[in-house]
Amino acid sequence: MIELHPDEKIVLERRRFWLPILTEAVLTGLVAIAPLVLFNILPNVLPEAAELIVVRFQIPLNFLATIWALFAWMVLAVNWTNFYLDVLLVTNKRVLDIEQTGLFARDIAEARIENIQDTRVEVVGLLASLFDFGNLYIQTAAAKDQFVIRNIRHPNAVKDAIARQHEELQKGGISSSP
Amino acid sequence: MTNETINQLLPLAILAVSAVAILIFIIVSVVLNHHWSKYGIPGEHLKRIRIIYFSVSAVLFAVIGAFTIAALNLS
Repeated sequence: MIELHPDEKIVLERRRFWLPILTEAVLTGLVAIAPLVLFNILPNVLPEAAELIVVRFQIPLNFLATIWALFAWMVLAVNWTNFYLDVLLVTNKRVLDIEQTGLFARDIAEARIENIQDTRVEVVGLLASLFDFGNLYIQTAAAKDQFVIRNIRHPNAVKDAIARQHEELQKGGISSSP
Repeated sequence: MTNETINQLLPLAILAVSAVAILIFIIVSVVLNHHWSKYGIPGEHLKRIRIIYFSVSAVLFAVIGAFTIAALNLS
């Protein structure tokens, strides 16, 4: 699990845009059921000789087709896990961008709210405008480079959430200072 | 290859393929479970993910089992 600091709360959780993983899921589904459909349709359309092979080995072929479907299911589960573990978290103290680059490779970028100087949203293209996803650029005082979170859903809402946390942190800082 | 040889080898091949599939499934499931538990966001999501993953897998294994039994009975 992601370890939060004491008194730290998750304010917002955002994943990357779902269309690529949905397309992948549909394609994997089609690839998974293709042999099953093929082996059960072929006897009706193939010439006699081929029909004999398919009919004679129908059970072993269907067995192999189901094994194939199981492997496709596992591939989809792995790809979905990579998508699911790619997440942006805005807490009341930090912004965490966790990028799962592979099943055994993770990249975690972190910026403290008080160090954030500027945030910028970039929405480019028809699909991005239609589905409201885009890139979020976070400029921090600590890091030289920009913090870029790509293809995130509702980037303006994330930007607002960060601004709100920044404001609350500043208010808290001012009220608690002597 | 004669029909008799095929009939003799088929059950062995089916059992071997099933065993390899089960082994790979166990390894992948352990790795996925580890990732969901260690890196996932705590909450209802994780429960649902596990239920869906293992339910679909159970259905596929039931079908595989049914075909295995049918193939073994055929021979």
